[in-house]
Amino acid sequence: MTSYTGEYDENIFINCPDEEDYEPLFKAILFAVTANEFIPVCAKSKKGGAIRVTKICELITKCKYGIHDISKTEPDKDNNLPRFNMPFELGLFYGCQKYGNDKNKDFIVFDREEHRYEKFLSDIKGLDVEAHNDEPMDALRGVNSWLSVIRMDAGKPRINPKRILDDYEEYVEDFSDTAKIIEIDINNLEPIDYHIIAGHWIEKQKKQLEEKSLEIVKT
Amino acid sequence: MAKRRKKGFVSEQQRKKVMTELKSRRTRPVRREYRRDHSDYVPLIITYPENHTIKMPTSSPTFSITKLDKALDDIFKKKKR
Repeated sequence: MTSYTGEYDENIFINCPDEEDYEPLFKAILFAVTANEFIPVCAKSKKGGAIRVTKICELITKCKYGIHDISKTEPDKDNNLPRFNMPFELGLFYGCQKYGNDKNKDFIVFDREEHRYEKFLSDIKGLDVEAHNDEPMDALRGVNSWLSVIRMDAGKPRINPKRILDDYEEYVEDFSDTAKIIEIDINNLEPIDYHIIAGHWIEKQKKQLEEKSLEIVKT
Repeated sequence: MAKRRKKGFVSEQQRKKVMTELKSRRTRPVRREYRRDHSDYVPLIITYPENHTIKMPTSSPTFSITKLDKALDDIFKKKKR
């Protein structure tokens, strides 16, 4: 479970379900993180044999920010039991913010519908809980507006939300073509791979936008 | 002695006069000289901020970055066409 990390205030701990049907939301969240110049740090990796909870704690201490999705409350298909990993990791992050060295650690929580979490995790009432309605675009919007505030607090300009939303739609269209060309199995990607693919895609897009702007100015 | 009207009420004659005036205002053409000329406007392309940099690892556990770079180059070239 090796993770690529940046500086403490660039890292965002991603605590999301590890399921195939969650992939579109995961892709959208990671795109917003990458486009806003942050680095996603995940315990979702399938590799490595370290004690998971120890590794998760290590990753949380490396991250100033966190994105937690507690929307998967359905029982597991195999054993008919719900999974508690996401609420547990949210608790670890909250504990680290409360009792750790950095009281300014910041995070956002996602659930499927507004106020639904109050029925199964009422203790977190009052925290910043957003509804993504199982829609990638809603998740993208939520992450982007939260990160915009963080960027502005740090004195960085906010990225135009229209740019990110339009780019994400285009990125999704290009993603499957890219995956085919580089011969990767979309269902077996490491979280960092999404960051690399999105990062390189945005770099190309930026270049093309600059070229277009220059052409317009010339004509 | 003329009947005093309640404050705020107008005669039928006055009402007609005001309505005609309002109708004429509605149909009055917009004066051309006030219309803006957009012919020299440059359409705005929303880009990323200056110094926008994405930190990324130089290698991936799953694929070759050089291959990814080339694949994206081809995709963007196709789109440009």
